[in-house]
Amino acid sequence: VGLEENKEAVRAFADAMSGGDPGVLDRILAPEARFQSAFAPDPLIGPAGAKGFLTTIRTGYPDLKVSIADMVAEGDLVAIRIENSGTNTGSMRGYEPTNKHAEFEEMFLFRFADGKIVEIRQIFNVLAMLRQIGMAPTEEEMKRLKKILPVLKGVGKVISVAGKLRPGRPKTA
Amino acid sequence: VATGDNMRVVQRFYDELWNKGNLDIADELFSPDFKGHAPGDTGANGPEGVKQFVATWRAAFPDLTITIDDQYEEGEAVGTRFTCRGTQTGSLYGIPPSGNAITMYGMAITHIVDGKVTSDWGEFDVLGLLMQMGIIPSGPPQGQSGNGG
Repeated sequence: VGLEENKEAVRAFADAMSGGDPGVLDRILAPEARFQSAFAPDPLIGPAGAKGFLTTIRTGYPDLKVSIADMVAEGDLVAIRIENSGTNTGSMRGYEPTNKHAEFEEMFLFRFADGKIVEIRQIFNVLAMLRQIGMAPTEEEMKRLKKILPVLKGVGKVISVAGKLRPGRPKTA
Repeated sequence: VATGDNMRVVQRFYDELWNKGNLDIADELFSPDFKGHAPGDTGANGPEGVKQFVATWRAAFPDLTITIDDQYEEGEAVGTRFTCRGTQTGSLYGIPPSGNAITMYGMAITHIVDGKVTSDWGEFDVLGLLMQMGIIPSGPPQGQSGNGG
């Protein structure tokens, strides 16, 4: 069962994430491959879908370095744990760059059929990454948020009532 | 070690500890120098650390069940893709009970030496979990483009 070939394909995938040639995806992914990304709600399809993922992460983190920390392969499956390290100097998914450095772990599971990747699943601690670049509240901030949430809701109600009283006022987004 | 033996150790870990709450079995399954990693908690060391970690989650989700979706073994490493389901009727790391039913996806790589678990590295969808517990607004942090990321 070409375990070594499968592992080699997974190493090439990680290398492409790390700035290597994205063209390798045409060789290692089946045209109908389904990539369940941690961010996108729908699976990315085929080499083109996976290249879109690479473009997104390499635009957001142009200096991204990916290293494989652990690998398990059996039958048609290869799983890896990777360590990501990069600086968010480009915009990502519509957000402006934060210019902050982040290090985060991630796991991938690849399923092969006839020597090609047909399924990719990605899990990573999105929250840890967003926290490091200052785009998600820290644990302490969340506790505070939880406490002030009822107050904010109350304020929102007052504002919406005030808006109705003064209908000429433009709506805020 | 015959193929499948290490996998069975991990299956017992999920079934006995996570699903049944039989914490004492950690003494049998885990090495004294066990090191665990999970998002938000890196301190699960030794069998006692495992018991504490599992107890914390089971207190928050008393009906917690973990289903193994895929499992693969190579040498001393066992990989697992899993789905956790439960109702948050207790508090979790200071987050008050939401009463919400949650479903969470994750993966782990577990190392086993001489029949004992020596390390377990798990990653799961923390963001999705916090959304389902009502702590942060739902809807992933998406921009305009629908693909990639």
